[in-house]
Amino acid sequence: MACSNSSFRRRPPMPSSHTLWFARHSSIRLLLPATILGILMIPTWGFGAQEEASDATTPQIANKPDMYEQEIQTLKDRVEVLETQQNSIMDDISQRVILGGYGAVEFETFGGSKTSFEGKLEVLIAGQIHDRIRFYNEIDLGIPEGEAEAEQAYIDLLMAKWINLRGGVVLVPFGKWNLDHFDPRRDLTDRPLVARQIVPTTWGDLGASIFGLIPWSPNLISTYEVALINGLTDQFSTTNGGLQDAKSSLRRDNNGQKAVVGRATVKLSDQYEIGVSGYRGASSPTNGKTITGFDIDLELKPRGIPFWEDFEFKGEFANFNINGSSTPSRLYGYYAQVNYHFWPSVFDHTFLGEPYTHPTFTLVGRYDHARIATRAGSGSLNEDRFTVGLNYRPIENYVLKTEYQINNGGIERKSWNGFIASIAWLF
Amino acid sequence: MSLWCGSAAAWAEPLAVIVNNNNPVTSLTKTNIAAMYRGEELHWAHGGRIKLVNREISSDIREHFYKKILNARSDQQFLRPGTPVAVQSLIQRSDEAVIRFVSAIEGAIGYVNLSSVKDGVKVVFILREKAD
Repeated sequence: MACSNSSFRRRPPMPSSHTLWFARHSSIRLLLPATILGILMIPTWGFGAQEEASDATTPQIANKPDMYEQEIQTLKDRVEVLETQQNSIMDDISQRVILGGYGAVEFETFGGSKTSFEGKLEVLIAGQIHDRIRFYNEIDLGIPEGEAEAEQAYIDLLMAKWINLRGGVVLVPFGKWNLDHFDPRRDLTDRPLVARQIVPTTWGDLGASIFGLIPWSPNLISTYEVALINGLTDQFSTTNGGLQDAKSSLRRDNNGQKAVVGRATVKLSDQYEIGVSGYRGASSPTNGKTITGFDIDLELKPRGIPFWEDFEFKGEFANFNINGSSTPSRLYGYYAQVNYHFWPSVFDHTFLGEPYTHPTFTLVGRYDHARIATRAGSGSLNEDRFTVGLNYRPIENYVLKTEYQINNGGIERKSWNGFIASIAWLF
Repeated sequence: MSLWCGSAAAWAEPLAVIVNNNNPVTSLTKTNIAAMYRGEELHWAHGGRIKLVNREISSDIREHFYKKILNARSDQQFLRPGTPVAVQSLIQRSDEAVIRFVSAIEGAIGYVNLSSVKDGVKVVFILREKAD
C-alpha cells in the first residue's frame, strides 16, 4: 500500500472522462456544490427558531461565527505587528552593514613581453552606525603582489547636505578617474596613461576632508571635497610609474607638512559633469621640493536625446609641477574617450540576451597621451596610445572586455601594440 | 538599438509617490524625488534618514519611474560618490508590499500605482506622464 501511495503522490492523477466533462461545463461545476450547500443549510434557515428552543447547545453554535471573527481579527492584528517588526528589521539590516566586493581578471599579450594573467580582488564593507554616521572600507587583497592594503577606510559624519566631515584613509579627491576607478565600472581594461603615470590613481591617503553638495537650481548642482592628507613623497620616477611610486602607502608623513587637495564639480541634470581639482604639498623630508597639480575632467551622458543618448563622452587633463626637481620637473597627460552603447535585436533570443533585462554591447574608442618632462640631459619621455575596445554587459555589474592598443612612445608600453581581455564583476 | 528605450510602452496608469502618514512632508517635486533616489539627498528636512523603497528591476512600474523621474534605465545603479557601493533601497515586489512597508516605517518613501493607494500612507507626488 505504501508503495502505491508514494507512486500516486509522485504522478498527478490522470483526469477521468467525468473530470474533463466537468471542466468543460464550468457552470455545472459551480452549481453542484452550491446546491449541496443549500440543502445542508435548509434546516438552519427554515427551522432554526424551533430548534433553538429545544436544543441547549444551539446558542453556543450561533455565537461561533462571532468567536471565529474575533479570532481572525486577533490573528490579523498579530500578522500586522509581525510584518511591521519584519519591515523594521529588514530596513535596519539593509542599512547597518553592506558587505560586497569587486574583482577582475585580465589577460594581455604584447609583442616583446610574456603573456600574463593579472588579477584584483577588493572587499567592500560599508554601513551606518547611526542615521548620520556611516563608514566605508575598501580592502585590496593584494593580488598578485601579495600584500593587502586599505585603499579606503573612512568614517563620515553627515552634518548637512552642504557640509560633512570625513576622516581616515580617504580616496584623494583629485580627478574623476581616481574617484571612479573601479574596474567593473570602466569600459576598457587598461587605465589611460594620465591615470597611471600622471595621477597615481587608486590614490588613497591618511587624512580628513570636508565635502558637500550645493543645489543651485532643480537641474544644476555643485559638489566639492577638500582634504588635508600626508601627501605625495619624493619617490617619483622618470622612467616608469611617474607619480605612482610617490604615493605615501599610508605611512607617516615624510616632511611634517600636510598637503591640500580638492575637487569641485558642476553637474547639469545628472548628465553633464565638469570637475576641477587642485593639489599642493611638500614632497621631500627637507622641504626642498613642492608638488603642485591641477586636473580638469569632463563627462557627458546625453539622455532622452535621439541618436546621442547611446553615446558617452569622457575626458581628463592633469598636470603636475615639481619645484626643486629636475628629473622629472613636470608631468602632464590627457585622454579623450567615446563610448557607444548598442544592442542588436538579433541577439534578443540568444544566450547573450534572453536571460537579461538590459544586456548591452559597448564600442569604445580612446586616445591618450602622457609626457614626463625633465631638465636633465636624458630629455623628456612621451607616449601616445590609441585603444579600440568592445565589451559586453549582461547586467550592470558584470562585464567582459576586449581591446586592442596601438602604442608609440617611451614610457610604459613603449611602441608595443597588444591585445587585452578581462572579466570584471561587482557584488 | 536604443539603450535607454525600455519596454514600459504599455504603462499608462498614474504613479503615486508615497510617504509614511507621520512624515510632515506634504508634497515633493520630481527633482526632490530624483535627488533622493540618486543618493544626493540622504535626510528629510525634519531630520530623519530617507529610506528608499524600490520595485524589482524587471517590473514595468520601476521602468516607468526610472525613465520619467530619474531619466535612467531600470537597472541603473546610483553610487555613493567615490565608492562602487550602490545607494541602498529596499526591494518590495508588489504595490501592497510597498504600501505595507511605507505605512510601517517612518522615513520611508516608495512608489505605487495611484489606484493601489490605501490608508496609512500619504501621496506626495503624482506622475501622470505616460510611457513613450
